[in-house]
Amino acid sequence: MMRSLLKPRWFFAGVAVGFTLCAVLGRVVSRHNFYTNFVRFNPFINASGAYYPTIEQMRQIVLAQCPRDRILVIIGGDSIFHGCGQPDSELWTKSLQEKLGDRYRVFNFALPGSPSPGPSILAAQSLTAIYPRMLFCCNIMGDNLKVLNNDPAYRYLFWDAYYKKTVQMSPPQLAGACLTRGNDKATNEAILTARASCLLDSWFYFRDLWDFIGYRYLFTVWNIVGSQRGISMFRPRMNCKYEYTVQTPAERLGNWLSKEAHYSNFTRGQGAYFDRIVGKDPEGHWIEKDRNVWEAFGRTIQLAIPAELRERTLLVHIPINPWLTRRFLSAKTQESLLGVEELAAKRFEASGCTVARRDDMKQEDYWDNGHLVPQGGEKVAELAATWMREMSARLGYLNAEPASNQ
Amino acid sequence: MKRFLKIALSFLAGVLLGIFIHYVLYRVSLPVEPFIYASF
Repeated sequence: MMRSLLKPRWFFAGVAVGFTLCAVLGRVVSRHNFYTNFVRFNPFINASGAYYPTIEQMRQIVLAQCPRDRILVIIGGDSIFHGCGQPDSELWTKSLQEKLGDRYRVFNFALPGSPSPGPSILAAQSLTAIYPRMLFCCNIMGDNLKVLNNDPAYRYLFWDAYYKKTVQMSPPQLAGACLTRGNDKATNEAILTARASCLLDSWFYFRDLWDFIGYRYLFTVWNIVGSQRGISMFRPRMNCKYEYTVQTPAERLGNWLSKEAHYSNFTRGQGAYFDRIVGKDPEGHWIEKDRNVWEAFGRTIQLAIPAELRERTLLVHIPINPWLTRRFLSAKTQESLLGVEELAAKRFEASGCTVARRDDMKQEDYWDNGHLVPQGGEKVAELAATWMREMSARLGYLNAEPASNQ
Repeated sequence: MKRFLKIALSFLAGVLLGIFIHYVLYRVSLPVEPFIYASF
């Protein structure tokens, strides 16, 4: 019946043409910035909203919006630097841009749920040749740092960059990517799946094409972010606005108290870990107590932050909300926390990175355990701007003549 | 004319299937379990 209706030769020719057309279109859209008024990868356009951007998309945002003679600043990190808890109008990176002025261009590519440095470090790495004057900045909390391949939500971005050759991976980076969690079968399978899908995507560019269509015209994947807000799953992502509402300090305190058990577990868990890994020598100096942990941490720095970016990398230490540490940690553990921060900073600095921290963060600056409200974001912006200017001077960015005006 | 229509219909159906296969590749590349970021 079908055979009499359709001519098989033409039908299969059509299949080939349709598929090839999509692959070519995917490749074409991946070479253009299709985001309008990009501020950050808000939950409608990140993994929370079942939307999976690519490294090339990050690159294209930069290429479209950052003239080559500016100092490029790429912000990586997790939800803290993403600005969860800060509306777009009061986002800390907006303030950072204002403080740094027109000579710099700041891009917030931090992704919630992606431990530092996050996938945007790959975008930064791939742009070093185009933007020799570049800084990368991400947040850290204690010794929290992860190799991208161990990040369940965004590990695909490592393989996306690898298979599309967006980034020339160094052997240590590849070795780092191949680190899996021992005999964890589920993780190994997830990594293999990510690799397979990214390999196919490097041939057929389906992610870029359907991201583009989902962003501009019609989104087709059910997602919890839209569902919670009563927004149709089909609405183009460019028309979906995600706003964080800023609560009053009293409302926030009420929230923290209502989640006391959760925060208590979180803070005490962190505290027990800190107590385990640091100690003091007889002269009262901090020492690395659990050598395995610290050596693994040292290796993670080498694998997670590419060598060519280390001297351009600013790591901003965001302490845990002091309300929590005061409430749930003993005086000794609070001290251990400082010890971890100090020793982690030493390791980071020994690798060539710059570490910055503010000692005057107050509970009013926080949304929850680590996320910041606009007031806290403002403090971080001030700190980051100071250090970025210092780094720019040190790296000779301020003396260099503009390369071109493109 | 009928033959031309048949060719056009076959080709068009094929194109649609090709697009659909491309879309299916995109869908199967997405994680099976939704990523739920717990903090917010």
